[in-house]
Amino acid sequence: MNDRPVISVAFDPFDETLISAPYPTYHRLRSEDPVHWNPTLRCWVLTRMEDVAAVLHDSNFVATNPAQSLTELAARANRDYGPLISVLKAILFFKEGSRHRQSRQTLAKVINRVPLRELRPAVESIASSLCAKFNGLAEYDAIAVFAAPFPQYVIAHILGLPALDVPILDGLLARLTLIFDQASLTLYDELNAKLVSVLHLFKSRISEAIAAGEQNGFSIFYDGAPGSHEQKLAEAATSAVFLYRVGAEATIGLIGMLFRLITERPALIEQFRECPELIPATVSEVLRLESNIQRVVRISRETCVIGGKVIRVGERVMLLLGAANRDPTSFREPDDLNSCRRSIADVAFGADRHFCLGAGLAQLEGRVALEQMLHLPPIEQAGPEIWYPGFSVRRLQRLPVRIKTS
Amino acid sequence: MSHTTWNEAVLRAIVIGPLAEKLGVQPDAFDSAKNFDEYGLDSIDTVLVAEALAGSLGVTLAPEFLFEHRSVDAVVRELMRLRPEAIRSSHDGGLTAG
Repeated sequence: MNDRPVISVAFDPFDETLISAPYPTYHRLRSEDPVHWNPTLRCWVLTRMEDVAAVLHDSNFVATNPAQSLTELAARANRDYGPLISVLKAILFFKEGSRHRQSRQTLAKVINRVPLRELRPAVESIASSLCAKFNGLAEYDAIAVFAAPFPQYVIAHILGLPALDVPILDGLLARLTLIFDQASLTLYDELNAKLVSVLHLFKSRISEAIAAGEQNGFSIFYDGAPGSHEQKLAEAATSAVFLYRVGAEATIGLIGMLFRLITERPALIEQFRECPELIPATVSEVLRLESNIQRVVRISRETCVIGGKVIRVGERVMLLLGAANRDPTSFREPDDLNSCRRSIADVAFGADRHFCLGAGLAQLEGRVALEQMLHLPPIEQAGPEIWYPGFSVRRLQRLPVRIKTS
Repeated sequence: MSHTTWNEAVLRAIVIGPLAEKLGVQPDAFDSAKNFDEYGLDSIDTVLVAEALAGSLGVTLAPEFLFEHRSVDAVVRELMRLRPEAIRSSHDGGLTAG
């Protein structure tokens, strides 16, 4: 029995329009072939909320293991990708079982060390000092001056990383999450070389924190890691890289989209001033609408049926979170921003055992960012935006804005 | 050389080169129409062949290029369609004029 359609609905997973404007394609795929076998990816592609949520909640669908694939690639290419592989191994959403549980507990301790309401003043202070640097400039790139650095300074604060390291790390790690897509050897070489410097820096900072007896995110990662001092240092450094950059990435995306929102709909600013309680709901809506993590891949451990199609054991299933989050079955007029929408669970932060531990922090940062925007002079887009060239992570890389003159 | 032109026969030979080497097949015995999967080219070797091919062509290829075009015929057809300016030529050398 072969359930794979002989004539498949066309879906080019590498079509560049998916980077900037994926939603028309998602809607078409969801309505024409919601459980789609893609011959290029050699995996199933799911777009309905019902199916995506079911897979996310099903422990028979497990995370992929890119560290294993990269280890094999490194061996065949005669490369030393040790640093890059160690960081991939530290990425929580690629872990399963007891390793996943232990790492998740440690990460939760780091993120929750300071409760969000107590963290808020520090987050506000970071946001306002960043705004002070560009407020008054006639034109600026909203991503470079605010959306990208803001979440990184917040994570640096949580970890205990000196603020002066942030610009250096931003340059070294800006392209890290391209490893979630199909990548070339050239990109692996580049990222691996940069991670040598990054891990060296993190190990130095962790050593300093431990020697000084500081209690911060670094010390929690260090204490939570097994083995000798060197092993603990190495694991704490890779965990910190994961939190610092992969954790910040979705928030960089969120805040970039919030900036774009207020340039497109400046009347919202007045609404937020009059009705600040709209801010949290708007942040949640932008998270749903823009879904900064677009693609998640799982492997089926058992043969099962989804939408009438047989998914065999060992087959991969790609979940298009952005498609599920605009499923009209779950969300009426799904493409509209509706801050009064009744709260329905979306999958912008994943779900179940892999639900993002930083979801609350990202929402806080989104709210604080919008609150800061209330104090800025009215802005408009000053030129074409540039998108980050990733298919799994979707975010703006550049958004030129200028102060409105009229 | 400041200008690069694309000749189908030359391109075909360049594309077959790294594939034949990776798969241990004689270049003149390589079936241009046969899907790489039938040759047993897995995803990791696809990445390695893509790197070698990009080097031979003197261009940057999108990482997914050889995943989307899974036979020599398909690769050559796509390269002919793209033309060098669309593939961001990384140097002036590379292919000789036909």
